[in-house]
Amino acid sequence: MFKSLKRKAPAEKLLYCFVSLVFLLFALSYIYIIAWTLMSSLKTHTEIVLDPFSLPKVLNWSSYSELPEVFYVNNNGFGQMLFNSVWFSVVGAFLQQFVTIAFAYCCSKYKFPGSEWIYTIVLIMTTLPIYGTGGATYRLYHELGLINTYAHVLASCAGFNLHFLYYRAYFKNLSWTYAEAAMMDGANHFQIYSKVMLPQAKPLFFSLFLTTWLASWNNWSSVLLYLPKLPTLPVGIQQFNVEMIYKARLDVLFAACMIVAIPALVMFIAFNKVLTTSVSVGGIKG
Amino acid sequence: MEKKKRKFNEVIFIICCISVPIIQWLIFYVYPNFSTIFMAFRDSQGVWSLDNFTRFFKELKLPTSDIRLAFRNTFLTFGILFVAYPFKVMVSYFIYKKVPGSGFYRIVFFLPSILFAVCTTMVFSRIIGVNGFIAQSVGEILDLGYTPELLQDERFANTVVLLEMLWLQFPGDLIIWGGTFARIPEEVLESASLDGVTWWSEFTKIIVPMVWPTVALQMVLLFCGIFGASGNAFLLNNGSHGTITLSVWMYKQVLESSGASYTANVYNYLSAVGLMTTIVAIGISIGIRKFTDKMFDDVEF
Repeated sequence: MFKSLKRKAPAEKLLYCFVSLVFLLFALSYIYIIAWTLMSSLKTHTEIVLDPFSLPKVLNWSSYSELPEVFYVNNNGFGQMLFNSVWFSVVGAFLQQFVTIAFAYCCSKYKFPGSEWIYTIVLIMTTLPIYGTGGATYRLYHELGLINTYAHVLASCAGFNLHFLYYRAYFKNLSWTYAEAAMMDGANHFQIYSKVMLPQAKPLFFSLFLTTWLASWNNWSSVLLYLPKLPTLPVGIQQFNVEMIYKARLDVLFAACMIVAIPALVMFIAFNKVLTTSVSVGGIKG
Repeated sequence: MEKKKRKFNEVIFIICCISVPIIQWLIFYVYPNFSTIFMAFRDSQGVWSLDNFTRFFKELKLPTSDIRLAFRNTFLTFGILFVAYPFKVMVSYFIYKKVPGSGFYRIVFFLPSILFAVCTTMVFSRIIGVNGFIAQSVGEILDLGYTPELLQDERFANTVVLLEMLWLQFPGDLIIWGGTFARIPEEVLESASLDGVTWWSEFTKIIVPMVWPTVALQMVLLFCGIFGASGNAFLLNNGSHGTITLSVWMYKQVLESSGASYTANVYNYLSAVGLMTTIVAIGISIGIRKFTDKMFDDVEF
């Protein structure tokens, strides 16, 4: 743990220890969120209201066992909301990455009318957010029948996004000689892409898929707007919290929070290394 | 013949790759944006007019209007984020430099972005609730004689929202900066270390110049997103009690009128506010781009 300090000057050692201490305080505060949620999920509703910071007197597992019966929002049970979450986050993230990587590969390796324009457009789009389009977008979704429907996920097939820039930069730096060798062996463009180039971008694809999935898994704002009748878990939890005055089941609310945090935590801990080292923007000089 | 077939194959491949994203972009990006421009110039009856803009400037001048407060809070939030930005980069730097426990922090610092914002804000609002020691301490320190509801009291609500944002955003963008620092050649830092360079000199004279393209890009993105700067005001107290920001205001306009019969009034005005904001954002974007081009070498991706 202190290996990094071995070759440091005393002043630097002190600095590193101070920084580490500050980091520790923040880290503990983040862990406290989980610990508090877990602790609350094992208390009764009354205990949470009267003494939110005490330890549970008796472990109340009924919050977990009763969750499927109690946790209902807009006629959607926990199972249904879990399905909605998985559908919109996994399918949505996959569609987005699948479309973006092919689009970026094509724009970086092939010359066609407008290929350079696409890069400029994405660059402008990512650096210049346009405000106030919420009303027009809502109307569009309404007119296309994409409100409260599973087909809403089709809107995720976007290629004009920040990830396009990551993929484009990656493929620009990837030598074309691989493709030429495959061409000599008789491979067509689809085979070159799927069997030669795409496998090399797997870590980046996976990393960006994971970040997109995490963002969609936690997304509540657009779901609350466009899919109020198909709530995902974050929206379900938010709505359940709003209705708490009638439901009086804070224990179930926090049990739901714990259950839905697990997939994200497991995925992150398992793939932490890939996530933190596969993405970079802006380049390095020298 | 073979060459023709290969060319045809190439064209088909290109069409397959680009058609879906381009159609998606035209439908879900271009159309709503043009639609927004048209909506901004129409009144609730659909007649061309400048009423929305007149109303916008009128409300902007009113000291008690929501829109004025939203702009004020947005600029305040942005200012805080801007000042905090170098510190957030330093967090990634020290983790990259492997301060004691960096492996642990590398995982734990992702918790705020992994956990539902809905959950974290819910827990946070209960921790600072009247039964918690924070609210009680505030009451005692200010000698109020009662425990204040921090999120329901205009004197404290916005500060609490901003503090919550700073607390959750302390780790910064570990993915971007972690990835960027990881690409710095180790031998460069090793030779600097052999020369006895201090950490500050290493950071300011070696690391920062090497990652300048990323710094420049991040600066551009930060400034261009100025009007989107916001904490979790909506989740914490529905943007009430003086916490509303521009993005929360815009979000609430759509949410609260979705499905209602009076959407034209709301959406057209929202479009006008959005259009004015975007025009200012374009100006800022061009300005900051010119500045970074002067300050830094070219920005690459």
